Amino acid sequence: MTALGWIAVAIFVGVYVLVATERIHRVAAALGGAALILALGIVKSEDAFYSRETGIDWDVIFLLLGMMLVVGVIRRTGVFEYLAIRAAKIAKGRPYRVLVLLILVTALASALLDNVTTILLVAPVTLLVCDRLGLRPIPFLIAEALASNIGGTATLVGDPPNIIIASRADLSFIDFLVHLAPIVLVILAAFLVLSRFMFRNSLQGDPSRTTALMALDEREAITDSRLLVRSGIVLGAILLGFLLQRQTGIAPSVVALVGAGIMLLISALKPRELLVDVEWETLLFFMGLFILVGALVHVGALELLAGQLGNLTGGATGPTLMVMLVGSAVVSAIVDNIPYVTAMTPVVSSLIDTHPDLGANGGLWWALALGADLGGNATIIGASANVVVVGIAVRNGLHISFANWLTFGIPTAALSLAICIPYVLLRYG
Amino acid sequence: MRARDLAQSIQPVQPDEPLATALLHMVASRLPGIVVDTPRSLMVIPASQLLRAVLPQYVQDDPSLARVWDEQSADRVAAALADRHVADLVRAVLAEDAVSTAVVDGDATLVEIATIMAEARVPMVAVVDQGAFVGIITVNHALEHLLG
Repeated sequence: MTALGWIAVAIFVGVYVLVATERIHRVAAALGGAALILALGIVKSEDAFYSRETGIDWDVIFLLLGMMLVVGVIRRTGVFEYLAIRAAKIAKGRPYRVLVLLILVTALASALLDNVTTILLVAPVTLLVCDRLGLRPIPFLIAEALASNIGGTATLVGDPPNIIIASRADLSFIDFLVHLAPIVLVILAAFLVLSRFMFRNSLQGDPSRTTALMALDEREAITDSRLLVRSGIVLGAILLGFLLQRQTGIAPSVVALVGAGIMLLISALKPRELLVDVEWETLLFFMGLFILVGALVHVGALELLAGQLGNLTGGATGPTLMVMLVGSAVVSAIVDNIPYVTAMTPVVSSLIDTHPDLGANGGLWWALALGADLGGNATIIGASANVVVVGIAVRNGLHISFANWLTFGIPTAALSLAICIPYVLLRYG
Repeated sequence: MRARDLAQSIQPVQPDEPLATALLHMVASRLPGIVVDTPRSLMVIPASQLLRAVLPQYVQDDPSLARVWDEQSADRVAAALADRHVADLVRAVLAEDAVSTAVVDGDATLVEIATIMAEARVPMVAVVDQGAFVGIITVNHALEHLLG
């Protein structure tokens, strides 16, 4: 590798450290690094902005943007608040049943929406339910963050790493449903059982307080029933568009953008109101990362890494799948999984090019997705949803410590991994 | 007229005062907010933002939950005030960026005062003359003089 190549590696590592340590804002770090890469001429503007291999992946950016706009309309209908309160009432206020149903609502919502949005919607209503039932809300909040990371793993749009993997590996929505959704259902079922034991000390309720819960009128949460029906139909059409991607040849990003446009037309919301819901910071962070990773591809650094990884495992399918699955889980527990997956996708591509067996049925891609998505549950900083739920807790006068999270996060991540290992080996090994 | 001539004398609230006492005093005095003497500066908190101290944070985070709240449980909201101090309110409004410094100099003219009220979206301003707090001017008081 050339001297310029090593400079690109140094810039990427520097940005990674800055993002991990939060010394400066992650957008500033990613865009600053990308600017340096461009200014030094390591990649040219045509590589950064127009190349599919070494530039910004606009499919990812516009799929995220489209889904953010779609969710921006749906969240305003109050349907998630309705579902969460209804679930708690169906559970008749019994703590474990309430926990189970809230976990299921969160996991299901998270499969369709991104994890952070799901938490922002479900956490406030959980605090209300716990307040009424006199329950400690912290276990419920932690369980929901863990469930959102599990549920998000199931679909192409559930977690940003999946969107990146889908675009780079040309995997469809159905591929994710076929390969990831079944194992996610197993993990979710196991997590429900684990929750019974992990949170047992916090699931003692006062039956006399059930009346206070039943007094809540969940129908009042629906702000606009007409919009709810219309946006439900559009969301259904979007999902259908995702499912028929192979037949229609229309990319998910286009489906999401068309859906977002229709949502805008039917919602009567002013674009300015809806644009507030777009996480511009996330989109800019992605753009910076794509340029940084593109530079590593351009200088051959990731091919080198793929070669090293191939040598380490001898290109044997089983060991490589395990290194990818477990390694991704460990890395994602410590640092943001978005930059990790962005950097790893070219490595996986290169490994599959060299050892085609690794690409059979997309095995190596699924190992990367499962490890990166589920490893984040282990620590408080492992996933964006974890960070957000801790922030919501603090605002409501509750404290979730790093150690407190580990008590629940490590068993959940370990259990998920223990289920994924035989699944990946048996199905793809 | 200058701000110092219009100022209506009141006692600023101290951060360690019980919140319920400060709110009851504001209601009894028919003022549109309170002036808190924080260690860093004077802070004008409009009455509408004082509600942040009364409402549970999760309802402020998701206002649609206010709609599901049953009338019989309204007293739960007031219970949130117990054991809370003015300093808690200051922290809450600062965290929400829900307040701006609405303090004018004693020399400020009516137009200056009105402009600050409009910009900061506050119904009253605190007047400081030669470094000392001298009182407040409410929007009604300012309008009386502007229109009269």
